[in-house]
Amino acid sequence: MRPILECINLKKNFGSNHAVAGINLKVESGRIVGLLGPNGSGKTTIIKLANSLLTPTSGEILIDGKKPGVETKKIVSYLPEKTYLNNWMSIQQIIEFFSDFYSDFNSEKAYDMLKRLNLDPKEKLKNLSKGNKEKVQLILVMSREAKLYLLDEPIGGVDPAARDYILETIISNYNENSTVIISTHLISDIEKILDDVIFIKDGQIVLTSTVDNIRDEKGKSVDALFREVFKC
Amino acid sequence: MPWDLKSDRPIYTQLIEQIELKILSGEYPPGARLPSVRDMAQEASVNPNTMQRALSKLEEKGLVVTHRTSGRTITEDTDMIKQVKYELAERQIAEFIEKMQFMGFEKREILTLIAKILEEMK
Amino acid sequence: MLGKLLKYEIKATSRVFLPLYFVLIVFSAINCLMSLNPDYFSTAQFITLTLYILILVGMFVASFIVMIQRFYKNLLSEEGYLMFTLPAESWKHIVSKLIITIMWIVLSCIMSLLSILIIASQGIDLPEFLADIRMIWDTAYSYFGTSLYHFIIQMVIGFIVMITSGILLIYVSIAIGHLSNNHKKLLSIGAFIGIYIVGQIIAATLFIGNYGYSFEFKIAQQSPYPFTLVWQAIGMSAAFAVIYFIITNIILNRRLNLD
Repeated sequence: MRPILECINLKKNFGSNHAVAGINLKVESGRIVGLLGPNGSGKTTIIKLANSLLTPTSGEILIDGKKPGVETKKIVSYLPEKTYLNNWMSIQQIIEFFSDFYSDFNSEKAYDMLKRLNLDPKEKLKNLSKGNKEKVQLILVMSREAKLYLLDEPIGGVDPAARDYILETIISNYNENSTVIISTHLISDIEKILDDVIFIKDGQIVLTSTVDNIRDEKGKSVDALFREVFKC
Repeated sequence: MPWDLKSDRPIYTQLIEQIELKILSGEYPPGARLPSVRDMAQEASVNPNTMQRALSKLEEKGLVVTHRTSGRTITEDTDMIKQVKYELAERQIAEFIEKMQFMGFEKREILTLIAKILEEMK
Repeated sequence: MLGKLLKYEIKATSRVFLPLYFVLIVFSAINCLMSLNPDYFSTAQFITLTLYILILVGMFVASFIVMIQRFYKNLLSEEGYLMFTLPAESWKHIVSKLIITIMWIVLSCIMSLLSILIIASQGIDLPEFLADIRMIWDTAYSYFGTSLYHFIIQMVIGFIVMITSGILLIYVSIAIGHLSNNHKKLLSIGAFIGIYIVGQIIAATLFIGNYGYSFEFKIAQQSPYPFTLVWQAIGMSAAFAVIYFIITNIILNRRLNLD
């Protein structure tokens, strides 16, 4: 089966900074993958390349066999690290916006999740706290029935209870036709839901493995291995 | 009994053990229907693929049976369950004895201690 | 997709313009009513007139500010993460904003005329007013002959082309500014001034420089009103507009770097 994400000798330079320095990668459908690395290692750059928010300096990146563009944007659901919501809409309006532009958006699911998280759809986005804005963004992303979810630091700014809810949502959203790639440095929280991990450092992949293999072969958690590999 | 997953061992092996314990303790009685993989994964907060792997292994062992149309059930083979119970018990005991020996106890001392504690526990 | 982008662009911008138009009309009405007062230059009248003028000017200033803000804030700041992950090509983003900006500018002009009419309505006698308009038309007709219609069409098209070119010049300046990491605003202003000057130089070279013996000018001399010359100027403005569009699109496609 065609990998949902493939990088072939992918490179991205910003001036003299080799943010992505030759990545070769294949990610299959139906996996929950952790993209793990310290700040500045290239994780966000790779994700932006997959979204066509950046263009490669050389090499290729393919989503479901296609170059990033309008067709891939239809099947990719992206949660950036930043809050990108505009400030004049209400929660309900942004849900309508997503529903309008994305044919795979499930409004019912979105409203369900809002209720679970005690958010009022009539609330204006500009009045929400940072944590609530992040929850809304997550709801918008997870309410799409996409083939590839790219989550950049999804649990960073939220309280532990919300964190659990987010992990629960990721699990319950799981199906064999979609893949979730989570980029984070909060590994211990997220380890148990990951199938595979990719360690990335200075724009290059230093390790790919399944979580089970790491625990089996090295007898330690991914978090512990990470600390070893990336010791300062 | 809530799921207790440690971080330094593969999750699927821990899931296998804990499901076995649930079977042996009667939390999952023989013949009982198991929830779907997705529901079990959510309950345990683990990846559905991992839960699937654990269940497949249990199926190989014969503790879990998949029915074509009605999902998974615990086996009704109580003899096999008993066998697994004894195997598990033997493993626990062996581990325990090893540890005691590591601490310096002789085999006879171990037996005496066990009797004493069992008495106190009544 | 383009239709949806247009819809949202209207939703986002009408929050600014509709209230402004409403206030404009209200102040026009107030001014009109004020002028009924024989006490012609009372301070109250002065104040309401000043306010009206401020609102009128404010309306056009708002068009300018909103135009820049929609392009910069919605596409090139954090909201860009929302917009550029939508399944739409970048040119659709540019075009949707362009069309809606033109729409508001045209509407603002119409609203200004309307407000002036409202203010003047007390002092106007309708038949006399219509007769005046007739007279203006007849005078124009006697000058242009049947090419009056040509003139009007040329003015309308010329107006739209000039506005489009101006808006796209602003867009391309903002886009060029985006290429810099640290000096975005400075580079934008620099690009705007630079491109404007280059545009003027090219225009001067093609038209005025050929004053004495140019082929175009001779053709233009065939009628009392230089239709061809004006069409050529409009054509050149349109060509610039296309170039600005293409450059903006290339930058958004290949050099996007949201922070």
